[in-house]
Amino acid sequence: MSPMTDTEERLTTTLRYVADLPPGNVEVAPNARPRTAGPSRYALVPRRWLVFVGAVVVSVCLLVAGLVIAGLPGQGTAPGWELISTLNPAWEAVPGSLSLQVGFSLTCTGATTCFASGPNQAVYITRDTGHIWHQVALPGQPISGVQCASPNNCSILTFRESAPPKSDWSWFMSETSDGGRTWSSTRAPSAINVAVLMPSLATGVPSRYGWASVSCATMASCVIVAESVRPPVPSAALFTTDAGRTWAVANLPHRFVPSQIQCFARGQCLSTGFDSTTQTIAVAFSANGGSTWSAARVPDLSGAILSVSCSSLSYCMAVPISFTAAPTTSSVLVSTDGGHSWSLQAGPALPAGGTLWKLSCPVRANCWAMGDNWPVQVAFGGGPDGAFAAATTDTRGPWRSATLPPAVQGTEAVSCPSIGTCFALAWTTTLVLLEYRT
Amino acid sequence: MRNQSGGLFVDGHMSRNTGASVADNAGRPLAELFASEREGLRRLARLLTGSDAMAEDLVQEAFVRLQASHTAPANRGGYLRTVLVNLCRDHLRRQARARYRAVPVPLVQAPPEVDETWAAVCRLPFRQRAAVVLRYYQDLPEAEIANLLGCRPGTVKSSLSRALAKLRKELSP
Repeated sequence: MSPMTDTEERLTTTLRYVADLPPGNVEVAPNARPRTAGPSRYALVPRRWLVFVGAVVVSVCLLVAGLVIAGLPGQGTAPGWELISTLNPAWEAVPGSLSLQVGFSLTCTGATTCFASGPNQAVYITRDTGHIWHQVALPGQPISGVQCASPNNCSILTFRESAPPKSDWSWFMSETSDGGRTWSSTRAPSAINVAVLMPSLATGVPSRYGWASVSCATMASCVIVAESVRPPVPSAALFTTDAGRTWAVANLPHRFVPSQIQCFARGQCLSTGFDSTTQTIAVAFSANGGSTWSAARVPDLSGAILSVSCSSLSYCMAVPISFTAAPTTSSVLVSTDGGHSWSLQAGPALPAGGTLWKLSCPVRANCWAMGDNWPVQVAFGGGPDGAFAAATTDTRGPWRSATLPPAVQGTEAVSCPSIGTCFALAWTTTLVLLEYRT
Repeated sequence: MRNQSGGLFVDGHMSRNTGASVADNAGRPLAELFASEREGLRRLARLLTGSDAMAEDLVQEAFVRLQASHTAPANRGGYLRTVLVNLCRDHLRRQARARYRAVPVPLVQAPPEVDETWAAVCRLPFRQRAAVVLRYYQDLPEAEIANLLGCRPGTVKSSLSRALAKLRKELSP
């Protein structure tokens, strides 16, 4: 028997991988793209006539659509987002103009299951598309969002303050391997306290948490990145290969301040953030499970990267935010080489004073982006246009704006587990879950 | 027909037709056959259709056809597999008639090579896709694949060759 070629080996591995996935993980997006090959019942009609007739039909449709849109100012051009549930009332009291350090996070692993975490000591899970939310029992309050390497395997970082008079803090990494039904927690290493927590202890007030994020490519292999909020103590990465029993500290690139981390199979990790000296965006990547890091090539852009979404390790899109002023035009960062280099690309049109906050890319170049002018109004005096959402389905754009429910005033997070399935956390008078319906 | 966890035969006509007391026309309880064959068939149908939901339905349909068959097939496992492959082909033909092709949704944070290869496999025409799945997942010889697909072994060989050439071209850096 002849030896297998690389393609045959890759094919065999892929087929076994896909076949062994738990049910519910393999799906197609029906009618998502016009068929380009194969039999057609119009095969007897010359193709050029089909093209001509198609062009005429499309032109007429575009003309009609343009007239309709022109007659209905303010209406979006994409199918809409619908408000489907209100989250736990405990979040009602949290103001929308949250600090950038600790915001809300939404992670949806399928058409019905989402995790929502926020700064009021709570993580919630729904398994019925937002109708019922259950609070997840964790040892502390969340400092990171829930990150899922698969629908079943998710992780989150939490912290807890000990009872007075001795104020002390404990950090925990919590993991689930059954889609959030049960969680196991391990104490995170003390180095994370040095990196993130000491300033709070020094002042006695947790005035600033700093950024921290955890990602587990497998249940055993996890990486935490944590921002130092007491320079010159550098920000740090901590990694484990034994499910948190032992941890090692790794140096991040000089002056790099991490905001998020995403790890993939085979030790590939990507962390986004900013350069603490130049106050410009920065990205670091590791190819060995977080033990060594290199700086990625990024455009010279003031601000930080707060939201990043990778549809696979090769394709990622990120949102830069400005530290100094509300942007007048939006842009996104795109990497097609696993985060090693990034380039700017036009983002969606912004309403006056609006800022793009979060995005989610379930598939290469298919992304939803959301933003609002709520925090910007506080910081920079934004305009009245409120929350907005936009989608792109192409590597070069353009972005299409979408209609949000009228009551929505601000957006917190967006998560799209697959094409056509997207959820968002948004503010009305309380925190609500939105679902995108085609 | 599917319950919320994706399981089959919880309610509806199949549960009535496949209970432990119901035997197929070869005398062996169909429920026993279902228990032993279902998972493998489901995986095969998943690879052929790219859809878990459709795979479940087609596996169920294959068992319905087995139960309804008037002549008892000697190799019921092989019979089920043949019926299933045909059902998958019919399903994809129906999609083709709708003038659209479904695209695979990327697997949740699968390794990029897996995502890219899976997407490339899903773009293959049905015969080529079936040939590579039966050859490289099920390890079937070309003669048996030809039997399953209702074509000559030479056709299987050329389908495999073309499929591999396409994959090699699409997956090359």
